[in-house]
Amino acid sequence: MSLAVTGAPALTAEDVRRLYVAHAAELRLTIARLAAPGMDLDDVLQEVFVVALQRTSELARVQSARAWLFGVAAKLTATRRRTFRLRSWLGLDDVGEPSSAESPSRTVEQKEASRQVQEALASLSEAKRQVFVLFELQGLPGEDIAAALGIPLKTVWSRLFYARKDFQEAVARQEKQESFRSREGGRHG
Amino acid sequence: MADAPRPRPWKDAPPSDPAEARAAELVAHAARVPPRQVDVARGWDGVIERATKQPRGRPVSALAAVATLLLVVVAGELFVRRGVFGGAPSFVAAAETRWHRDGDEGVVLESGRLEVSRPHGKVVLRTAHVTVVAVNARFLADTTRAATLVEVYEGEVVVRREGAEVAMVAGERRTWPDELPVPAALVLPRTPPERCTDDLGPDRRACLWNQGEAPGLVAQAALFELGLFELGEGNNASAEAAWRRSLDRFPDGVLAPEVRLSLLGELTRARRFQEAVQIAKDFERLSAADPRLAEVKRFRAELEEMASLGVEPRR
Repeated sequence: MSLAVTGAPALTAEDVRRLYVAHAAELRLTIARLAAPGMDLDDVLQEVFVVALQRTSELARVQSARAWLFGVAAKLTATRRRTFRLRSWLGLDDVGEPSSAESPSRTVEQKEASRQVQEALASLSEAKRQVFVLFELQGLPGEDIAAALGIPLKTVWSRLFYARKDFQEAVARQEKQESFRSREGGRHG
Repeated sequence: MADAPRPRPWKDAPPSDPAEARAAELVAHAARVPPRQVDVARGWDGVIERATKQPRGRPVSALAAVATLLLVVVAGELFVRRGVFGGAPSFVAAAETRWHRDGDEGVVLESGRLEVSRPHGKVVLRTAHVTVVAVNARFLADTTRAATLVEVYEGEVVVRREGAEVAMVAGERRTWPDELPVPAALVLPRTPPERCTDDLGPDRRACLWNQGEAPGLVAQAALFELGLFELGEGNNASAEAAWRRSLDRFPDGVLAPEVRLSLLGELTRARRFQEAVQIAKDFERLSAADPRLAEVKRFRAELEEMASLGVEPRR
């Protein structure tokens, strides 16, 4: 399914501002899940909406503005991520303190789960990470993900299949290591 | 994969395999974490500021960094000397908008939509219809040949027109002028029908309704006159009903052009510009030989501009 429909007039800046009000927080969280640690989340978020302001005609024609914004966020984050480490190493980008995109009101259980999820996501390839985050964590339908990332629906499902497999293995590895560390800690303590 | 069942998110359909279920459990917990709220006003200002600037250059060498630093110093010096500390105003223009800057604070909008923002300073925007003075505010101006719409998003603005001033605060939206005079060439003289004369008093309405059910020209004349009568009594809705009834029964009737022009006038006075546009289009289509055609066409263009500004109908 395509996100595109025809005949809609271009959005105004105010329309885009309303999208910002509605989706900025969840987009920032998604960017955090897709980004490398230390990347400037607000900078990427701003750029997503700069793109939206530049492409108001395209945005007016899509079926789901939310999915379109997620697609732009995913692509921008991927581009930034590719150059971020090299630029940081060369001293061209400041690596900031990891800024949390999650609400301070999260429970201890949620906080721990987020940490583990973030670590496991880091082991996924860019393409698999995008599909996994948008489907499992943001709850976007497969059709919207396909349109947002510009890939066929079948590719979404196949990437999801392998992303789940990789993610599951990463979690298993993490838990094995943590269990080993706690056993070692107990022996030495 | 084509025939495989459609995947469902782990949080909605937890897997049965223990290893997969553990991963799904973590994802379900993480998916329920609410996002941290963002500072909308500050964040959006940043977007607008960035959208109105050229893309930032990235330093690629020490030489470039030094050159950039020098430029910043010189630019900063210039800004200090000129006393421009309020931050430059930013503008976001819709496609095909015609506008230009007029000095440090001024901007002239000839046609189209322009969003203006200056969080710490003054901006004076002029159109053919109004002058908008904004201090520490963000607003939208949308101007056509017929009128200018002003909508305030943040802060407060003062709108000047013909010697009068109106203050508007965030959330307000108004149009100047918000009325459109009906051209004299399209205003019809009153011609009472032969029967149902004024001397019938209160029975005149019933007489006209009865005649309106008759066939042919008698009915057309009666319904047309009934509309004028109701209008005179202040019953605008009844007048419209009589004229619409006439057009339903006699869309090509002899009096249909007169009825359409009467309806056009009333819809315009009621600021129901979209409906007035439709009536004007019907007139143009069905009365192509009418000598008032050119005037109707010209007036329709103005009505369309007013309709595009989304002016509220008169209550």
